Amino acid sequence: MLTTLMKKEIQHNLYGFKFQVIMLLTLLLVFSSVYVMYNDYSQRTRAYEIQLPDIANTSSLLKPSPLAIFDRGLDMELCSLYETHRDFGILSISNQKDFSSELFRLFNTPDLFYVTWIILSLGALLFSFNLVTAEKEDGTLRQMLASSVARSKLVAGKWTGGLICLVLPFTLAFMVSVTAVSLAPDVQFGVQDYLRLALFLIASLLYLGFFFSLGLLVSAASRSSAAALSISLLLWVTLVFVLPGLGNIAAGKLVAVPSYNRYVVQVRQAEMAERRASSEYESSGKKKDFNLREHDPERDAQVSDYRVRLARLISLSRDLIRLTPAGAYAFLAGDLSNTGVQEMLNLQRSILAYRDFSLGLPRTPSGRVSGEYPAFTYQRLSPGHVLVNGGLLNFALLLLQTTVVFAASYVLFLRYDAR
Amino acid sequence: MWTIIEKEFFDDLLNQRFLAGILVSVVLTVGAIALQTSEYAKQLEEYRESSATHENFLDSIGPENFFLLTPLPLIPPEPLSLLANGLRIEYLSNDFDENFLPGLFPVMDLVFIVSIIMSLLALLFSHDSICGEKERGTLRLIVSNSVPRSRLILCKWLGGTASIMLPFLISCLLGLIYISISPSLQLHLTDLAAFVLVVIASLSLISLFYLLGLMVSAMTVNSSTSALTCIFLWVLIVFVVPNLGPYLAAQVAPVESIAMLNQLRSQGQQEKDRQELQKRLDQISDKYETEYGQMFTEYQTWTYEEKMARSGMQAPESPLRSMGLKYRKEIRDRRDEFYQAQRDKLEMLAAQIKIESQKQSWLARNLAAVSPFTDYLYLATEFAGTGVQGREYASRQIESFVKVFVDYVQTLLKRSGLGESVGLDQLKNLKLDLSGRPRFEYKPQPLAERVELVLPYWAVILLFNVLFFVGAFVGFLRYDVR
Repeated sequence: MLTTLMKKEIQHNLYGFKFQVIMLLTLLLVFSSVYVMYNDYSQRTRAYEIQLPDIANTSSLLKPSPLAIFDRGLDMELCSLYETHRDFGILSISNQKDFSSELFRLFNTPDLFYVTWIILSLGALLFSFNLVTAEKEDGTLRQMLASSVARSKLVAGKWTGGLICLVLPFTLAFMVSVTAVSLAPDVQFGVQDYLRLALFLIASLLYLGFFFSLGLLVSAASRSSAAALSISLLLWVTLVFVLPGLGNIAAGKLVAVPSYNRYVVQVRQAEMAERRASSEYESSGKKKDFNLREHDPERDAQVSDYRVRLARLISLSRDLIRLTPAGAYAFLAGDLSNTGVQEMLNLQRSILAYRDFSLGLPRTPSGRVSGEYPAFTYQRLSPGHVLVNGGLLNFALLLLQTTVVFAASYVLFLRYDAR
Repeated sequence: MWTIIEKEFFDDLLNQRFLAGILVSVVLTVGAIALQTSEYAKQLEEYRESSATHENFLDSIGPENFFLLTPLPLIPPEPLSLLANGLRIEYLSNDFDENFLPGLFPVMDLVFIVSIIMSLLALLFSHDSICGEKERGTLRLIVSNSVPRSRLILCKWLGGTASIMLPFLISCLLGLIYISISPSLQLHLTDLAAFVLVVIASLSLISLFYLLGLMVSAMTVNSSTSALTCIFLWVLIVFVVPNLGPYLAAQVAPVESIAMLNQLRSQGQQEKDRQELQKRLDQISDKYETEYGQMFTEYQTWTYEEKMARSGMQAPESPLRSMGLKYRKEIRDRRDEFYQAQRDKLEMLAAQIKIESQKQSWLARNLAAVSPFTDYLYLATEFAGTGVQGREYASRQIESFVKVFVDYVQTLLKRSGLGESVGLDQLKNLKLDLSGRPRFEYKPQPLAERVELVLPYWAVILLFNVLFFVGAFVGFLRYDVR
């Protein structure tokens, strides 16, 4: 019986205008986004290759992640040049920005993640918002219920049939684009990358499944399609835009971080004083023993206090935001693509650890390191690490949200007034 | 005609959709304005604190650390950034210690509310205004009256947009009241004018989406098809074209030289330069060694102070002194020449980048401007002073201030004799008067200029309004009401 219902649902969808529109949108967006982001990736890789030979081995310049084609996330920030100034006591960290990209900051990156996150979630919702109400309006719901079909089977059939129609074009487009990208000259995927992409696909399907179930819930809770449409759009705006934004704001109210601007001003003043003092001594040929560690304990304390508070703020924001499906999916997709929050925090930790390590190296009286200076190296996080450190939790949250919403729509449909 | 407008207006007004719409619009608009106001207050506080910290720091500078005399032109937050966050300009930026999380999620400001929520509401209101009436059977009745169709569609637009603009205007008014009573923010007359302009721009965008819905409605048979088509077009206008456009432009006109500039600035390159320079300086030393022999070798073993003291003590025409002077001058000249060449190279590359990125920027800006949403974004951000061009205006001010400041430091050094090589003990006797130093005062771009910059984009929005209206008109004239 379930198969018949599913088949009916699938056939009904396939011939429908809605399916055609959403499929068209999916294919158009997935392919154009992958095409554009692949070019973006190649460009960034070329820029990286030009810069690489002249980077001091103490600086960090990551090669763009090929997975950034699918979710660029923080890859621009990750791949900018972080220099740890080796000659001076403080080993300050600076980075250079691509200043032509001003305009781009007004817009979003059109990667596959964004397409799924914002646009296809709406598509999923639109796919299902009238699954029940439309049948009621057409009068077919009564007929079906009058026959001996159990309501539970009916809703299960609707859910599976609809979801298959939604997910199939997306999965196909995803696979085709992954294949195309892996054949492209600038990209070499390893086994781990395929694993990451598979997990990324599963996360995206779960996320789309959530919105599809939400549409079903709305449909089972409203009497007319028009009402269901309004409610769906309202929910979509709230879940995708409003709640994640509120998470950031709420965290900002709960954790007080000292003013960023003043912090930068103070740190810069101290750094300049030290750097210039040190170079003055060098140029005058006067030898002086620089005690690197205990240069300015007050400023060190200030910096570490700032960083501790900032880390607390970031982790609280993240915990609040990931309670929403859009947040959980955003973090999950970013982390799986090696361009997420985890990766950023890890890179920052590595750079700081490297700085502390180089402070402990033996030095000549003028402050330079005596002997070979070990290079900074960085390895992006493995999928296992990502999953253990929050990835699985995000998966679980997404799954839980989807299940709850589906269960609710199931219950509501059982009590639905088909008249 | 008035009756029809009235009918349309009240039709919407008495609808459940209207109630939901007004609720959403008021709550979100006022909420967003309140949130952004507190954010603005925080930024302003930070700005004041940082400027004060820096000025105090400059006040504490004496002759022994005069080299710390550096400019810090900080830009105060724009009051209207609370309507359109847009871009912020940071003279200092150290991404390493910045909170990167908020950048990952959309910002809630008025621009967001208008472009996502109000535009969707407008579509929701209008997507079934013709096909919906047909479905309910009321369209036949209306058309059978002696009202021409052209007037009917005009009234639909006027009445319908009025019913959506009303809640929006009310919420903007409430927002304005909130702003004017909050102590942290003082709006000047120009800010007020800019506020009004942003609201008018928002109205033109809302009307555009209403007309889009009307047009689709006049071209489709049933309201569910119309709803889907509307949302499809909305996604194209709001998400697809604006976000893909700039990237396509960047790929058509890439700015390749930025990587080269970074390469020139990198530490590795600096190390290479240092070695190259050392090689050239060594050549000079070698030359002197062959020319002067023992005297030069001995001279080279002295420390800087010894050199200064010993060669200075000699009689003016002594060979040691003249050799020292000549040698030091040659070294200095060679070094200056080397660094000048470096600077020229950097400047040339920077100029090239400027041209390339201007080309790219122009293309990106206008490619994205095909979408009326982008045009609205430009309008709102430029009015608020947070747009791309407004930021460029601010950057130019920063640049010219830095130049003025550097000149000031140069003349100060010359006048006080600090620029010449003087002994450390001599420094202590000098007095440094910094009270006349230039202080950065940011002047916002005049509103008239900002308006002039974005007029073409406004024209595009209006053009789309006309186009969609004509589309709706033609569609309705040919509409089969049966």
